[in-house]
Amino acid sequence: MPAAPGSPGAIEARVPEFMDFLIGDSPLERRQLWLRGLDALESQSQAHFRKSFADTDAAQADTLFAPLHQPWAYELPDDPVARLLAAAKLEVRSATYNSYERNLAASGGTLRRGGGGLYWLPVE
Amino acid sequence: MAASNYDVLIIGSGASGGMAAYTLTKKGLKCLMLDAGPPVDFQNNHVTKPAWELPYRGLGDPMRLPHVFQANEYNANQWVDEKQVPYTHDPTAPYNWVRVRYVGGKSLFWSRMSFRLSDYEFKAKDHDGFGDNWPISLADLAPYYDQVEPIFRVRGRKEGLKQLPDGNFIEDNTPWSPAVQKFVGEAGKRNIAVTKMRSSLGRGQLASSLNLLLPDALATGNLTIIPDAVVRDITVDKNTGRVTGANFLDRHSHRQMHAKAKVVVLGASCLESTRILLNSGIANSSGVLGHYLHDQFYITQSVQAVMPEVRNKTAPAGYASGGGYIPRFRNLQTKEKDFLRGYAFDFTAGGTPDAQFFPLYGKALDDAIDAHRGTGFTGTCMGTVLARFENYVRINKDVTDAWGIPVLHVQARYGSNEFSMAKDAINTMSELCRACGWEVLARHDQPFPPGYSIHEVGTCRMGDNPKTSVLNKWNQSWDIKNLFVVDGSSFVSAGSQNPTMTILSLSMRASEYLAEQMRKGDV
Repeated sequence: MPAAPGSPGAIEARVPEFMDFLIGDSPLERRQLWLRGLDALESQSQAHFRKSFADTDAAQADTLFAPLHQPWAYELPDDPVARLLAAAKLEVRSATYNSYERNLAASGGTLRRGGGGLYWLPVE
Repeated sequence: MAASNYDVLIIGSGASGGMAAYTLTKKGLKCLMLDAGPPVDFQNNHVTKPAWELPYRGLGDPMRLPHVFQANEYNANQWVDEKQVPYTHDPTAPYNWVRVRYVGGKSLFWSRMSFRLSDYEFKAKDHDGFGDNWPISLADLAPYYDQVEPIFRVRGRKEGLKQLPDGNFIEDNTPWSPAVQKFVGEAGKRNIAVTKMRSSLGRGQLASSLNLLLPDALATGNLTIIPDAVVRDITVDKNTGRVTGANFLDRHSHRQMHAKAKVVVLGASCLESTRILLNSGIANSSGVLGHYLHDQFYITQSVQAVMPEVRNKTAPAGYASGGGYIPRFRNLQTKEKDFLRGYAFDFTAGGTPDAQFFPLYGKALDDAIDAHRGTGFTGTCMGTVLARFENYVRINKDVTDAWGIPVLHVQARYGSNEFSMAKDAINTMSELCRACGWEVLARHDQPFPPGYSIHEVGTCRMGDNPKTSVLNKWNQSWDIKNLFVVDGSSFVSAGSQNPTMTILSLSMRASEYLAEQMRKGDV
């Protein structure tokens, strides 16, 4: 989720920190999907480009993101990188769009209260 | 504390329990109703919150409600806490048991799709040889559907389809949008009927027991409701063999109390009613209590198509909007496929496909979504699940809920009939979309886990034979004359139709029968 003029991207929306929090609160299976996927992504980056994934440029990253160009399938693929990217695509996107920073920018800085959804309160 | 001289103890306040109260109190019977949940002010028990004010930015607590696919961070508090009221299942056979514990039950939150079953369901064995017939037919239940539909204000369009009987509708004569008309035309060429969705309008914000049934019952002066009452078991007089009431615990204090009545009516929802009976150790001389668990299999967004003529906002306003319903069309006249029975679809036109369906990311994905706003056509497949003895629930004595009550263990799987049906359904819908000139962006033909539809039925089935059923055709226990079970657990089989109208009608019918039997002194 790159930034665009007037539209914060995932970094500006503090999504990495949020994803750390979300994954840390997730069941073991989900945490393993992310950790194994990130390890596999790093291995592929080293194998292809002899550098860490964090140091790749956009074109190199796109090569590694090849699974994101495959048609959607209900079952997650076996490849750990493909599984990671399928999860990350939705969660990073949602976390960015739902962020305070993104909505502040979208509202022209006014951030009118209201909007959002109906939150059902707990009933004791 | 409530008085003790009640005619009827009703357990559960949702669709079935609520209808029992509505019917019995109007017949002059003094009723006590117990519900495990609290009362809720539906109009005011929510606030508007932007996603960024929620702890998980709207994505939801990943550890909460693992079996409730319908849950999100906004509605998480609607559903039963799975840690407080757990259940177990075979780890290789997941089951999604979705529950609500508020006065009004699941009728507070249902999707309102309102259909009648047909004799393709009531007399399914006569039609295709599988399973058992119901001990009643459409003709027996039609007078009750006729009364229930106006209470819930069901809107629909009369079509004269035998497989989807018409009802007492608020007539829906709205025209199809041009896109949907195209789809209807292609379906018609293949002898596939398409109709308007049949839905309960209710009144105000709700189409629920809470606003449509309980107020009238309370107005008679014959109903007392005790919320926060978690029923443990039903009590029986050892000398007479008749039920005498129920043990229950206060949800907060856990204090145990007993409610006494001349008759017990169970309407706690399908699996909770069966759980209560199993924990009570009664009404099971047939040995089939807990068995024949089934539902509809669901595949939401089973086919996601895009309408190229709407891309980049090139279509006129209103071209693609609205939706409809495809009732069962398979295996009506003859057995035409490698599966029995059939499936239905509800579909919508004019939405925007989810980001997951585009093989893109970043700015390219944003641009694609912008270009495809309003181009979407998608359908949810709802398939008939066969009622099989080997799909069952039992008590797991090793696990108890927060009140010390043993929980249910669910053992249920779909079989080859469901999987073959799902493949045919998605192939057919994909073909229809392509025939309309639309592009199928994504499709999947694997049903969600059993239970997902929240239409579980069976486990306390009615029948003509006390050796093979728990209840007679009046929802009355064969074993215990003053015990009735009026919710979806009484179903013998299901169709592709949502079950709520049938549950309401069965409860009304059983309650009228009970009232008459009590008047004659025969219960």
